[in-house]
Amino acid sequence: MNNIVVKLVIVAVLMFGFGYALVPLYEAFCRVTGFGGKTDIIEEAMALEAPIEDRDVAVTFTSHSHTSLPWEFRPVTGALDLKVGEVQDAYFYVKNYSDRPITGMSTFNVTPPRAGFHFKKTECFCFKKQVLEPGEEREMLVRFMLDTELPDDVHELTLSYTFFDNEKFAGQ
Amino acid sequence: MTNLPLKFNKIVKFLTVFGGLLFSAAAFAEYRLNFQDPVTQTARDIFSLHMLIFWICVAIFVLVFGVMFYSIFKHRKSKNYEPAQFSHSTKVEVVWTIIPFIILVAMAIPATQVLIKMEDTTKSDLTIKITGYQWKWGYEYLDSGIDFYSTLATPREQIDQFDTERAVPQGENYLLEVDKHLVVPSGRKVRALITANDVIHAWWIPAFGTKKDAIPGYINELWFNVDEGKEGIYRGQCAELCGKDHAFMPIVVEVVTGEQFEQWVAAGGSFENVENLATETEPPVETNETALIEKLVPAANAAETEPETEATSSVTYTMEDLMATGEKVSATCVACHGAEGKGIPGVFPAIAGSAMAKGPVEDHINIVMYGKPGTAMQAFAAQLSDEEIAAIVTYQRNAYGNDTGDVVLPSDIQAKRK
Amino acid sequence: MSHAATAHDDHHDHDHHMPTGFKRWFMSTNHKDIGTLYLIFSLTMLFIGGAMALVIRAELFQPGLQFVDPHFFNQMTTMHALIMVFGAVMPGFVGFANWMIPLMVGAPDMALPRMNNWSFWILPFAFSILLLSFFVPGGAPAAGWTLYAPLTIQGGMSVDMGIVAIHMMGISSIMGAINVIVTVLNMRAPGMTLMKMPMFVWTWLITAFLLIAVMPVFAGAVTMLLTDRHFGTAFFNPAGGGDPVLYQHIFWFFGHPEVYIMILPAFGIISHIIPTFARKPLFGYSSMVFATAAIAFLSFIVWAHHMFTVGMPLQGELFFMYATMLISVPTGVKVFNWVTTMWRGSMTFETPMLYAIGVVFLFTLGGLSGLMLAITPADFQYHDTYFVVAHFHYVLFSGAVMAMMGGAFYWLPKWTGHMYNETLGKIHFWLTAIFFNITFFPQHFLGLAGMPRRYADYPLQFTEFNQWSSIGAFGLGISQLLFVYIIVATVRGGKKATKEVWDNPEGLEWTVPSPAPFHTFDEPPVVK
Repeated sequence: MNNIVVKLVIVAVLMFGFGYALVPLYEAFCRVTGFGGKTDIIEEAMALEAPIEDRDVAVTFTSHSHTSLPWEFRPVTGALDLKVGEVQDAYFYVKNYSDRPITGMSTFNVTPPRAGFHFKKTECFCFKKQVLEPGEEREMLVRFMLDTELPDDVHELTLSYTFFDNEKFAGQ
Repeated sequence: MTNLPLKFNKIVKFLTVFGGLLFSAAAFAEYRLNFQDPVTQTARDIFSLHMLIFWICVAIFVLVFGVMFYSIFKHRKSKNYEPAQFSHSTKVEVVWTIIPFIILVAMAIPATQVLIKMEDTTKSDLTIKITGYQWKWGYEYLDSGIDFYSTLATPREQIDQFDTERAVPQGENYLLEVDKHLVVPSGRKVRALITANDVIHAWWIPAFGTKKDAIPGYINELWFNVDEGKEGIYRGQCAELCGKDHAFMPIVVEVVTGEQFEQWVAAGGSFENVENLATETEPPVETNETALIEKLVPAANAAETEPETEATSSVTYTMEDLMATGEKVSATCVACHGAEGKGIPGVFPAIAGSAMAKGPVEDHINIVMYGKPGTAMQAFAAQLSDEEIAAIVTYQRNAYGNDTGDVVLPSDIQAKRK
Repeated sequence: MSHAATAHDDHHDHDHHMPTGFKRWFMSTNHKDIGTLYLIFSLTMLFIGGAMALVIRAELFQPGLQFVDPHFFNQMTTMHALIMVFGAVMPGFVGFANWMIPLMVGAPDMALPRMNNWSFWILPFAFSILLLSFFVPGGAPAAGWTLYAPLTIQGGMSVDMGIVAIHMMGISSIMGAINVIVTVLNMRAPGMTLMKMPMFVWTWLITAFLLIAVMPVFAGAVTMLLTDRHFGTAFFNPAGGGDPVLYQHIFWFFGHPEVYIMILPAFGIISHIIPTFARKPLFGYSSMVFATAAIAFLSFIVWAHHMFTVGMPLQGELFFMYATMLISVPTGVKVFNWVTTMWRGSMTFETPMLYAIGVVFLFTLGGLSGLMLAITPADFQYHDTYFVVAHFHYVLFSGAVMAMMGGAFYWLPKWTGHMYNETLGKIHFWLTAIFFNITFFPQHFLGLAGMPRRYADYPLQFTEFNQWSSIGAFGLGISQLLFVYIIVATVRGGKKATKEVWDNPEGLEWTVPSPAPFHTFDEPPVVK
């Protein structure tokens, strides 16, 4: 009888752990399926070798800066038409207009979600802490490409960045 | 602990209201039993799918309970009905597993077709970015750069009915009216990119058949294409719990013809400007602006949509002016800090009698302009004009019994902007 | 049943004389006493949660804010749900399990009596903490019972108190579930094979496995919320790079099986009542068992139908739509089985039977609106409206709660030794059923016409149906006082109940005297 009790307790503890395991599992699941518009990171060399297809995709850039973060943040690169397979650079302008240094961090995703997996970036400022001094301005780079597996009916794609105040987060 | 919300006199009041129900019926707007009339192909598809599934469900319900009630009336002991003793029949059980399965397949096919149509993201004609805030919506037309906030326009006195003496009768579009409409053309595919600033919201226009969550930090996408000939005003509401004023951030979309839309865009996002340009009266900028500010009774965020005013620095401001403007434009503050500046203890700090509002002016201006990190206190520098910030700070330092006598001028704010 | 015969029952350390007062109730290891405690606790919580519902309905009687401010309104909706789900429905079924499972499987007590005591006595403390959160600055949790991030991250310290309370009740449920599993697997009377177990025991066995599988996941989710709030992690907070949608996935991975945790034991109760009053064996016993297991299994793969609007790829939407629709097959089998059990029976309609028929009828209505909600494109319109509120009250109130009421009337004579007043019981049923429908049926229309849920105030076109709903809610609330009166009166006295109580019912619980003595089945019965 104690045997069953011990087993059931172990199952309960494992399921608690499973709750936590869902975090990386979800991450992995999103990267594989593009769920939630999560994207993939690849080596630059690989990206440059990729074949270029004669298929245009319109890419829109949007940005938002959380209202408790006194930063100006906007895309510099306007909407552009991009060939599938082509490596492209896009710049974002960011400025701290307050009178104190602030750490910010940006989230990122693309929509439609099914395009996410086929969106490969080689360089990105997202999910990294950025410290801006008072009045400091900066241009930030995203280098990316769309792989040839991108579904045919995706004609438009949006990249979205949101900067948040990151002061209270200890690690990353 | 906040004061007890259910007081005895309120219970009494409830009973009186309850009694008055019969007499008040005339005041109500028309009720509905089903979806609002669809004005997009998507909404029509959803509507017919909904009705199809509904009738299938009704049929199943009638059939199953027809059998049950027949049995209840026939097979009862009071009619001396002798019970049978059968307890299983594999044949019957297999049949009633398979038939529902077939019905499900019949439902799944049209549902899948509608879904595939909805997920069609081919070429759109226009892109709008929608941002949910606590508690208002921000709209940005990515193609033309027009952007503005859209805030509830129903006056507070219609909402607060705590004191029946002071309460004002509710208007026709109670809780469904905003200061600035989202304007879109009919007959064009509008792509909406949806995100949020703080917590999850959801953007929903029932007549368009679209609902999508606005998630902070991430973007979502939906599209709609309103039929030509269906121009008009369509109203919706936030559909994901987003805190205190969840019920008070409606969505109003004004659908116009493509031509009207072009004019609206050319006039910088204002129909008044369109009219003014057409009649070729004096340059519209100045007059419209003051007119606009006056119209925006509870709204505070029109500043960004308007061109920079050069005139501000040369005008002199009296404390009365600033107090009056401050009271009007501080609706944004009131959303969290309360109409009497008392806040919500432990969640939103009070302004009345607070160290911030009675301490150094500099700190007060800073917190309004740059926010407070790690809290819900936003940085308003980009959302509000110099005049509005000055008016708000002046108002808060002298209203709510704070009475510091401080006056903050727009030039003080301008000096702080780098 | 004889006290003297087994004076020393070696592996059960309960006393063989009946303790009294403090010792009897606070230190009890007796399954019947603990069952009673659970049931009283559940009924108390039903009234506390119900009072909150009435505050909600009073505010929604008219457009405009008349009684409470929106922040307090949100506290009401949140706490109403938390208390009803974790305080009323779940402990209620554990109470039934404690009372009835040992009697049904012919065991002298639950397998782990002392743990049984702990798992009950954690609950009053957990709910005291939860209710005390009304008195901290900012008031009780107000982010909805689903506690979605990042809104919960904004909340005051009451959210932390809520999380502690959830941990405590989670531990309590897991201990209760372990107890049920061990009792059912080890302590059945000789001859009672698994496929001879009463349906209530089967549904609870499956429920217990669901509890052990998902309660820890919920505990994990709220722990992550806690560390996001205070310890600088960023699982769900986008400001640190977290993903709010991840919370919803984890929550609903728990949340959907949780729905079945609340309904499967109700199915069990119904499967006892109907055969008794139809005087006919339950139709399709083995398909009932398999249907229950199938529902439990499917409940793990449908969670994302609660979040179609978060934006997911087409394949995801299709998968979760199909999987959800599939659940209606085993659920349908159950309904058909119940109806066929009635078919050509010889029915009488005492109060428990009225409840059972009411549950089958109204639960099915809720199940069909659930099927409508499963259709993804239509769900975009229904999602987060009153249609959903109507749907889950049809499955939870007229499913779970009314099944418990029916079960209470059914076994009350066995528990107390007295027959309840049949006329009052019937009146209670009709009041409950009618007011329930006045309350919740109009909410379908409200939802379809576009009224979002969790709204403290609403536009004018929703006024009429909200008034219907509020009137119904007050009627429903007041009717439950009659329920308490009937129970108290039955405990105090009434016509003596026989051993069998009903007309030749099936099951071991009817072989012991009424009221069931403090100790039963000290010598196991033999099942043929």
